[in-house]
Order: sequence, then structure tokens, then C-alpha cells
Amino acid sequence: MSFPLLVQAELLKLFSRPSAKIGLLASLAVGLALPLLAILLVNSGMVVNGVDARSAFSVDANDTLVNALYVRSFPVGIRAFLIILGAQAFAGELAARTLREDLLRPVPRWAVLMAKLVALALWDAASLGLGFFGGALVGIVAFGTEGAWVATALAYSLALLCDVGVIAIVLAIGVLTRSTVATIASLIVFFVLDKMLGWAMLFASTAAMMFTTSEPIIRLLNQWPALPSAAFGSWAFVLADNDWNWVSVSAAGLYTALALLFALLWFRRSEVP
Amino acid sequence: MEAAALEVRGLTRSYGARKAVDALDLTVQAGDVYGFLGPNGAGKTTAMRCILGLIPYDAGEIAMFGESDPVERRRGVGAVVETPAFHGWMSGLDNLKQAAWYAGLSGKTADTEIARVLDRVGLSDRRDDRTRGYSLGMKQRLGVARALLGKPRMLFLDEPTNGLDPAGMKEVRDLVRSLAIHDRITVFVSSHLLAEVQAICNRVAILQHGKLRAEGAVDALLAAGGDPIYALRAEDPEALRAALALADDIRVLTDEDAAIRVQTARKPAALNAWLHDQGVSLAGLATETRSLEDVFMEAVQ
Repeated sequence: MSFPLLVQAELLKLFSRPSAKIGLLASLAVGLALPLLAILLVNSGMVVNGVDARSAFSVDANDTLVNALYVRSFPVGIRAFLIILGAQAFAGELAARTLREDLLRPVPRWAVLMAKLVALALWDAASLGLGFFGGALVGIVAFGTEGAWVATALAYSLALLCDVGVIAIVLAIGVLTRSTVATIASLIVFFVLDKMLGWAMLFASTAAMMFTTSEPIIRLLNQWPALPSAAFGSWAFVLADNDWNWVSVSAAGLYTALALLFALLWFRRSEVP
Repeated sequence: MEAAALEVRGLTRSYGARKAVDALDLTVQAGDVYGFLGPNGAGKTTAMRCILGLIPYDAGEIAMFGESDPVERRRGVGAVVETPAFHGWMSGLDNLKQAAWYAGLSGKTADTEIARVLDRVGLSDRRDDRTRGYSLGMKQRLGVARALLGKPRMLFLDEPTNGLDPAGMKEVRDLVRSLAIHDRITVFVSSHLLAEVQAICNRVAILQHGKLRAEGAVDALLAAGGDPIYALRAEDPEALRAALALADDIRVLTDEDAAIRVQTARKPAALNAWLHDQGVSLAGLATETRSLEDVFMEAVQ
């Protein structure tokens, strides 16, 4: 068994999917849209508080890339494509019985699952890369090279790692439900509701500090960075605070490891139609 | 001595209280074209899926060419299980490419092998078409092509002619025969089409309710039937049926509009005379050779 060949086979399938191509185009569009909007804004001749927009807004190429990363993830964003592709790659192939055809070969099941994970991670890297380099090109031409490039690049890299965790979750749910629709619907609804819960906890913890609230409750509310949607968005803490939120990063690592372990163990004994 | 192409001992698989496959023993020698027969729901597909490692089993041992490791034993084996599935948005060529990579073939070896199998099943001119547009017969042939990647020593075919028109069935039958004769591939074919199996297989196993009912060389099973078989045609079929019901030593094999096939130790003249005494006037009496269908009916009744 040659693992790189399995990845190559998964890449051929993945990148030829119409949804993968649309997802890449959407990533590029988001990456380009932010610097283009900024260019429109500063050249609009708009006056803000008596000051010309060009002077009122301090915009650089990095700001547009950072904003593109936020837009990309709000509330599920381009990640929805990742969830759809992950669901198609496992649950979809299981239902279409094409997974069976691959498993008739002398390849262990763990290798098939991991090859799908690596291929999806490479698609995500391509998607982030298109947004980053496309946006950076337009941004640099329009605003020059000023800005915190290291932090931005770090955030994009961390976003990729977070997305690998999401892929692991998608595969685990796919192995469990064996249904493309159930995988996509349950994960998108879960991530949206989880994000709302995170916002609610953040708001409540801020409010609780203004009133006399017991310490355990405040401590509990402050754990919102450990929620899955916040954990798989750990890159945002690097951008916001220029620091790592270890609760969030650890939670993301834990969720990823548990999801992978579950998927591998469950798939090992699964029946393939 | 060369290990058997397939050796199954005590294979058991249950769904709840029902045993879909019950202590199944099979031996397929290299070079056999082995027919795996049984009525619908007999457990053929379940057994094949266990053998190919697609579903777990409760008990038993499986070895292919002496290899019993669930992953390693699939090396050198190709399979088409039911209707083969493809990625519809990809061309036949790309589907084979990804299958070749899964089979461990790469670079020029994969390209050469893909060209060979496409040529073998006569699909070279349609290789760039999306498989979504393939007919069922073409999909079946592409499935065989995929199974042949890497020059397997053994081929598993599960109901390979299901859903095909007569021309398609003949194509697949000829292909299987040619693979066995020219490519010297051991073939394990599951089917409920008895004439088809009789035409291409040298050995068969008959399965019912998950249990092995008969197994052996087709010639030996056909010869082992004993008494001769007659096809009887009467001017009054009802009278013939009534007369046959009276005789303990005459077994009705099939009763169709055109003829009633019976098996008995009686000579043709004696049978004719006895029917005449019963008031039955025969329009035809022909001696028939035993078919696989007769063997099958005996095994499952």
C-alpha cells in the first residue's frame, strides 16, 4: 500500500468535483472582494467627520486579508464547502457505493480515511492560499506592503489547522450517520448554534462582571473559547490579542483527536454496502 | 503444492437471530471457474462480502492463495460486486486512474495497465466520456476492467449479468470465459442464472438459507443424478398430471405449459405403456440430459 498514491487518488476525485471548484472560486472571490471594497471606499471621495475617506481610514493590504479571514468564517462561510466536500467524500461515497470499490483493494481502512483527510486538508490549503495570495496581490498593488504580515500569515496557517479539526469532525459524523444530508445539516446547524451560544456566553460573562454574580458562574461563562466553533476559530485570538488562547487551542486539539479516534475505530468495524 | 485460490472454513454471519451464512466451507482451486449458486436471499452476497472484507463475520477462516490477513488476502484479487459504482462526474479513464492508484500502480505502469484493461473490455474509444452517460452494459464492462487492473489471479463477480439485455449478457459471459481460458484467471461467479453458470463454470456450490447444499464439479453433479429424465407432451395435460400423481417412482421436475419433465427409472417404452394404460395419450416423449437446474432444484427442495 502506498499512502501518497491513495492521497493522489483522493485528490483526483476531490478536485474534479463541481462543489470543490465552486468552493475554490468562492474563496478567491472572498479574498479579492475585501481589498477591492477597500479600494472603492478610499477612492469614493466620501467625507467622514470632515475628513477625506483616504485619510480617515488607515487601510493596508494586511487589514483586508484579516477581514477576508473573518468573512470567510462567518458564521460557517467557506467552511460550509469543506463540510459539504467532507460529507461527499465519506458518507456520499458510502451511499453511492464507490467507497466499496476502493475498499476492495488491498488497503487498510484507516489509510482510506486518512487519505481523505489529507486530500480535504490540501483542498482547504488551496482555498486559503487562493484567498490569501489573491487578496495580497490586489492589496499590495493598491496599498503597498505595510502591515503585520507575520501575524496574518500565522492566522491563515492556524485557520488551516483548525479546518483540519473540522474535517476530522465531518468524517466522524459521516462514519456515524452514513448520510451526506445528515452530516451536512447536523454540522452546519451545530456550528451556527454553537457560535450563537459562544456569543451569548461572552455577553453574559461581560454582563455578570457588572453585577454581583458568583465566581463559579463567571468562570463557567468565561469558558466560551473552549466551545467547538470558538476552538476551531482559534486563529481569531492571534489576530485580536496577538497571543495564543491556550484553552481554545487545546480544545481544538482535543476535539480533533477524539473525532479522528472515533472515526477510525468506528469505520474499522463498519459494514460497507 | 500450490495453495487453493480460495479456502473458506466455517464462515458464519448472523443478522440478529437469523444466520445469513451458516458454517460455510468452500474450496476454489486455481484455474477454476467456480459458480456460486442459490436462490435470492440464500446468503451468496453476504458470503461474498465477508470473503472480500466488506463486512465483518462472526466466525470462520478465509484464505486466498494461502493468505489469511484481511487486507493482504485482497492482493491479486479483483472484484465486481453487484452493479459497479463509479464517480459519475469523472470520465471512465479518470475512474480507472484513481482505481489504479488505489491498487498501488503508478506512473507509466498505471497508464499501460489502464490501456490494457480498456482494450480488454472494448471501451478504449469511450474512455474520455463521463461514466454518468454509460449504459448499464458499459458500466458492467468498465467494472470488469477496473477489477482486472494489476493482473489479478482471481476475479470475483457478483451477479455480473444482472439487468443486462441478452446481447449484454452474452458479452459478459464471453468475457468471463475468455478471462478464464486466455488470461488463466480463477473466476468466482455468483449468479442465480443457472444456464449461464452451466455454460461457463467447471465447479459449483449451491447455497440455501446460508448453508452449503451441494458442491462439486459440474460434470460430476450432472452425472450423479441417476435416473433418466423425460419431457412428456400429452394431448390432455390434465390427464397426464393426474396419472403422474398416482406413480410413486416418477418424480415431476418441472411442469410447464409445453412439457412436463419427469425423472424415473422406467424405460421410455414402459413409461409410454403405463401412461397408455392410465388413459393418457402422449403427443411426445423425449429423453433429456440432466441440467444444472435439475441439480439445483434437488439441492434446494
